[in-house]
Amino acid sequence: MLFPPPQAGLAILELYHKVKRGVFQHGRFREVDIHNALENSKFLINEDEYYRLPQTKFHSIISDLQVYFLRFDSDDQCYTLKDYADSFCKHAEDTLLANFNPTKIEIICNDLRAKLELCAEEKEVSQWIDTFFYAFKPIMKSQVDRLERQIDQSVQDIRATTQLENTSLIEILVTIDEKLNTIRTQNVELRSAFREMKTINTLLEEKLHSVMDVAIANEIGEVRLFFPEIKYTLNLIDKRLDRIQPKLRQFFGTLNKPSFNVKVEKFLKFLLNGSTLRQNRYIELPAGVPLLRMRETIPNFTIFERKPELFPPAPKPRVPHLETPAEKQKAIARAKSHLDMYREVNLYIDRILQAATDAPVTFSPWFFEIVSSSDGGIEMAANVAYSLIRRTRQEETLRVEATKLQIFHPDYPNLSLWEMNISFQQ
Amino acid sequence: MGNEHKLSTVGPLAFLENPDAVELFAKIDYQLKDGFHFQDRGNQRPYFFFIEQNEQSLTAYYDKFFGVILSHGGEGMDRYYYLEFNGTDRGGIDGDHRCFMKAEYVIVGFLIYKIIYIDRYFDLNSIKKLQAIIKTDYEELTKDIYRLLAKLRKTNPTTFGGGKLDDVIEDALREFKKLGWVLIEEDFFDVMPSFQRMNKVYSDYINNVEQMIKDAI
Repeated sequence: MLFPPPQAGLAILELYHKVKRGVFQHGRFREVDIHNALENSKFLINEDEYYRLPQTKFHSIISDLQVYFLRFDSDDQCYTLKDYADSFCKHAEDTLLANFNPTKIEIICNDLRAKLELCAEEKEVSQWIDTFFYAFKPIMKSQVDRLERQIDQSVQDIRATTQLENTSLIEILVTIDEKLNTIRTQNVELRSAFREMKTINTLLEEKLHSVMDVAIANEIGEVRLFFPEIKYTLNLIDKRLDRIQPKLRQFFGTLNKPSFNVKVEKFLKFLLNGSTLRQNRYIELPAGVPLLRMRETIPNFTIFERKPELFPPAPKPRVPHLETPAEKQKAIARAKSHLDMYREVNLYIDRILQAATDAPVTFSPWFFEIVSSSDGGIEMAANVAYSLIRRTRQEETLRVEATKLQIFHPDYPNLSLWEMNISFQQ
Repeated sequence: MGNEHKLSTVGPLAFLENPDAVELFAKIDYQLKDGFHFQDRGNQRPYFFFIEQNEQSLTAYYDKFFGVILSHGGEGMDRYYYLEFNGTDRGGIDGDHRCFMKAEYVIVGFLIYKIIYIDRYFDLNSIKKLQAIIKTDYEELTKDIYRLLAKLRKTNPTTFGGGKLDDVIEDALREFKKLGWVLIEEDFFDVMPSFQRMNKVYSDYINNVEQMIKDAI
């Protein structure tokens, strides 16, 4: 209800203008005037013409409008615009017709700064934000928006000239170029009018340090964002102009030779039509049109350097290995004990397998026997277990199965093993 | 004649005396040889001004030692400098060291030229938008665009074909960026004055296009 549908909105705007121009006495109008306004606005929004006035449809529109926009006096059977309708239309009008007024911005900014300087307490700053800053924000924004809208319009105007072929084209484009120039100047003026905001920003930053109230601090934070926001938009406007204008001017260059662009288009069509695809990969341009020679492939600079780590590091001092008879004996003894152990391991394995030929055996009794024979050391017993498992690879019929049964021995409480069943497949 | 007189007074190494040469010349030199075009835009400005200030000396330098011509195009704010490799077979640069722009990029280049300068999308600055325009706005060209650029036999627009087309367009823009013809930053792109070089190189063919079409039939 706050936002009327297009037809109703346009009708309200028309009524608002008529009221302003004094068409209606005391700003009062009758239902037939609203009907006319609705009837007029339907053409603006390209609705199909209807032959009879759709009374019921209008009735429902008017009923809806009575919530915020229209006041009905049933005694006199006349209508007036409600306050909301007034401000709604005024805002729309301001936005559409916004006059460029950097001086006004400058005055407001100066005033804002002066008022802010007078604020001693945080409450006052909060009041300043609510009363003065929020009133200023839309004014500034509408000025910036206005510039942006004008650029959009210019871009549209430029595109529209593609339909024109007569001589007025140059005049139109020159006008657009001048308009873009004006926008650029206005952007500069707006920026300088807005410069006081920088001081305001610094003032607010100083005040922020002493503000204890979180809500007020947040409010200040929000205000401080406004400055970079606007600055960003102003820069964006400059950047857009920087992009559009040079191209427009380059375009003027080609206008002097009107047939050139036509030829470029023909050439492009010729390239597209006449090029062939070789081996499904390479495009060959038609009629010997050469490829653009763009550059010499520059050999990469060969970097020849001596890397510090490339050469062998300084040699480490060598520890001379002295062979003494005692050392020699020790080494031989070590090797011998290894050999002895494996001989013994094999003996055990043979015994186990011998036992397993007749009937399956379990491994744990053997294991603890070996442990006991090596005075509690498990090296030999573990080696027997590994060798036994390894033996299954050589003997196809040998089966060694590990179970989940954990076996303990009373003599070796720290030791346990998963039981293994050893058997030969028949 | 006036030029010759000036050239004779400015030696091919005079630019080395310029105090900025230490900082700028190395980059200018290998960028120029890489096919880059310098213009009065953005961060190219200092390099552009160095070339502009030392134009005579640099021209003599490239002519004398490399046999290539330091050329310029564009007027006023749109002036740009580059090394002319086309049609200059003098000098010590042998065939193995030449590099040609791919044919598909030439085609994409002219498509971009048409869109921006002929159809006047002066405000176009999104790569995605450019890709969309090429795919949808030029029905009369679509078939050949798909045939040549997407390299597809069936030329009906499809998602797959569109994807291939997008890739070629983006690759072309990247190649143009290396030449200084466009600026690219993520989806943003902007055409630089030196983009007009396309027309300059092909101007003979463009002006003669009617005859070429007749000959082709």
